[in-house]
Amino acid sequence: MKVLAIVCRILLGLVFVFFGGMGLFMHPNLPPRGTALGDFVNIFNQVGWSQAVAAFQVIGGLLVLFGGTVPFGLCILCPITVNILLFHILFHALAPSMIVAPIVVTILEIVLLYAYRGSFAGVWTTKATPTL
Amino acid sequence: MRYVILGTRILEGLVFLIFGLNGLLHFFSMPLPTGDALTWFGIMATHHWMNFVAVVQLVGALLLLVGRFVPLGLTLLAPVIVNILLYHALLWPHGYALAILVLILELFLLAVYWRSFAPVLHPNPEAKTPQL
Repeated sequence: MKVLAIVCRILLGLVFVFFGGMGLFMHPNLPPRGTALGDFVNIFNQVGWSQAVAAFQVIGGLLVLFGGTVPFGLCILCPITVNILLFHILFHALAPSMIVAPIVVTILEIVLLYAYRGSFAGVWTTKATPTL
Repeated sequence: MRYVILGTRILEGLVFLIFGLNGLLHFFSMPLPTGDALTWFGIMATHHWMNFVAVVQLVGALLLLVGRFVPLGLTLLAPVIVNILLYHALLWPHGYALAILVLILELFLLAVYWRSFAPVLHPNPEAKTPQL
């Protein structure tokens, strides 16, 4: 389990640092506007939303690569993974070959969430008492 | 202080209950944006992305209102709030007041329930992880 967690961490971290860095620093080749998918990604890029997501991907990926901050990195990457997966499921008919990578990332994410479940135990408490 | 915490929980729960239910049942119509924001919103609606967001909002709201699994409810609502804020910051600035209000409520509740979330930032997460 220890080795598996390290392998998953390196894979997940590298994937997100790589794709986040690409989203931040490279000019993407987008499909033309006019279709739902084209409109969506173009608007997303124009207003800077995809750059914001890319920045979070780089931060989350680095946090997962560093040993001391894995749970926090997973916290950042988890909603991003949900949205990526959702995007590819809902727009599946428009780009059917793109679904593989999101599924791999989701599996890596789930394995790591399980491996570090001790850190997330507090989130799953039934009756948490607030303190102030 | 107990009643401030209770009030905050109920208020955030009610806001997301109303908007979550509205996202599924459409019993009141929201003022629609124009331009790119309208195109984007239309794509999100026709591809059922909004339905998924509504379900997440509904689950989070019910957990907050019932008072069980409150940290889990906060965890579900946090990324939704981040995305609402991004939408208002990048695409459609009108009507951001409610988003700011919800952000303040969420931050207050995260602070109050911090004991549940503190292990996520624990400096040596591997030590807390149960060995298999």
